[in-house]
Amino acid sequence: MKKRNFSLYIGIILVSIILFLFLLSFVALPYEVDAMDTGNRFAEASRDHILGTDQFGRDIYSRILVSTRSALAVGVTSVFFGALVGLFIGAVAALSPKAVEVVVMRGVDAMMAFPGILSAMVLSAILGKGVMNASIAISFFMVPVFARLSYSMILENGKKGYVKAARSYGVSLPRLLVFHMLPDMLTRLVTQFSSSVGAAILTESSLSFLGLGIQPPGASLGLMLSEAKAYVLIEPYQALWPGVVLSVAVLGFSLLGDGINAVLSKENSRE
Amino acid sequence: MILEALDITKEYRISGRKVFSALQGVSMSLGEGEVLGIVGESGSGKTTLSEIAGGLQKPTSGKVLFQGEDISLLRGDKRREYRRSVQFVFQSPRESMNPYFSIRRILSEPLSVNFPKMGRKERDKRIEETLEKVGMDPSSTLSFFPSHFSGGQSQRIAIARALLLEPKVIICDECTSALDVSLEAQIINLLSSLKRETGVAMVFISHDIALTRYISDRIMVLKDGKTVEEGDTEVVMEKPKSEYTRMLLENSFL
Repeated sequence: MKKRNFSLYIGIILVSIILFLFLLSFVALPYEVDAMDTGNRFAEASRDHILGTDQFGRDIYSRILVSTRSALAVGVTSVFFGALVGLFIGAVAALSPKAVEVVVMRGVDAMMAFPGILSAMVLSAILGKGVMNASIAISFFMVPVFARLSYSMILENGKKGYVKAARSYGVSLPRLLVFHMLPDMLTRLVTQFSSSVGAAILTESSLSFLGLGIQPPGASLGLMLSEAKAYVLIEPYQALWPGVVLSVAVLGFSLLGDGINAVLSKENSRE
Repeated sequence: MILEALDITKEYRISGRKVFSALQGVSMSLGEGEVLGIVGESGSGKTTLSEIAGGLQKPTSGKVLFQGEDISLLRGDKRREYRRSVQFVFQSPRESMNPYFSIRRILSEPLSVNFPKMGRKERDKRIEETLEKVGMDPSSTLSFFPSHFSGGQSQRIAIARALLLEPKVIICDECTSALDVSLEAQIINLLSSLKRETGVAMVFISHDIALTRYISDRIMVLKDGKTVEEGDTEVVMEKPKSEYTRMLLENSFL
């Protein structure tokens, strides 16, 4: 029976929408993010403002376009650096003597025990507000996820016959990791990376919502939601659109991760 | 003696304080050009012993000597020489080859790692000669991936990989048990002829005492991490001293 990989298709479509909005923000931005038009507050959707305007008369559509910049930038870079550090820590633990391994992995467990958003908030509070610090805080909470991933994968792959064989003819450790272990780890890395980007985008919005991430008058989906919540009864659309785009982004990256996982693991099992 | 293991113990910690002893003071020795058969049921410690002798695992206590020198003290060139001189052929040939590598790459890697200065032409020549030695046609082998080959063909390629480095010892760990009976015989014949031609010493590990008899000069029987019996093949086969060996013999197809 052939099962269609809906996760992949829908994931690709949703992520493409976000990427499209991201590109539009550079080539076809109708208004500046902070261009106010106080005579035109809470405007209905019209030809000039296709999604209407907010409490300062700023164009909601333009602000959403610009928000995708910070969402993607923070999402991708924080996961990238978090993954880099995490993979390294996990590898060190997996390859070290038992005592080091236990200490490092218990440390990772302790980090994992904190809810991500909580540690991100604490860190942002310590480091101060702003995009840069929000990114650092988010990458920090990505570290344990990737550390566990690389730790378990290295231990698991180390038992594989061809890794043993490569060791028996004297392949050096870096070569062993890159050529004999990495290819098999790639599936799970890509999957984890994609769903983590979704989580990171959500966290960036949460931090901005709480006033710790992107600062006004900049634009972030979380910040827009936060500003809209005061007017949600009189002007619900102002909250609706950033909410929709945020959902599309988070759902898109998670589904994309699942879809890629399904494709690659099917390919592996076919061998 | 080319490879010796002296009074090896190996313990694994399982959950907290519990310790499982895979090997309890086992010794083995292998002379140049000799074939030592190690027989035992699964869980007897034969694979652990071979991996310790081959340097893939560290013993809890005891030492391994290669040409009389303790391998844990070997450094630099001597360490590499040991590494190169003791090669493995594993149970599952498919799993012992990286599925992402072509056969050309699988066979080039041992050479490029151990002889970085060797030229490409020389390397290719040696790979082709070795493949022919194990009965594979280089032109219809090199550009394919491991999944292309049957179990018997894969095991021939795996033997070629072990031979490439011109080792002094080849450790065959259950190297025929994943194959059916007719292929088993072919691989055993191949190993015996390689031994005659190249004079390589072998450790032949199997749960099948009848099969081990064909190829071994000496046999060692392991049970629960201890040596039960050791001696020249014919002596062990004709006049087994221990009850356990007798039982193994009775249960095998002879």
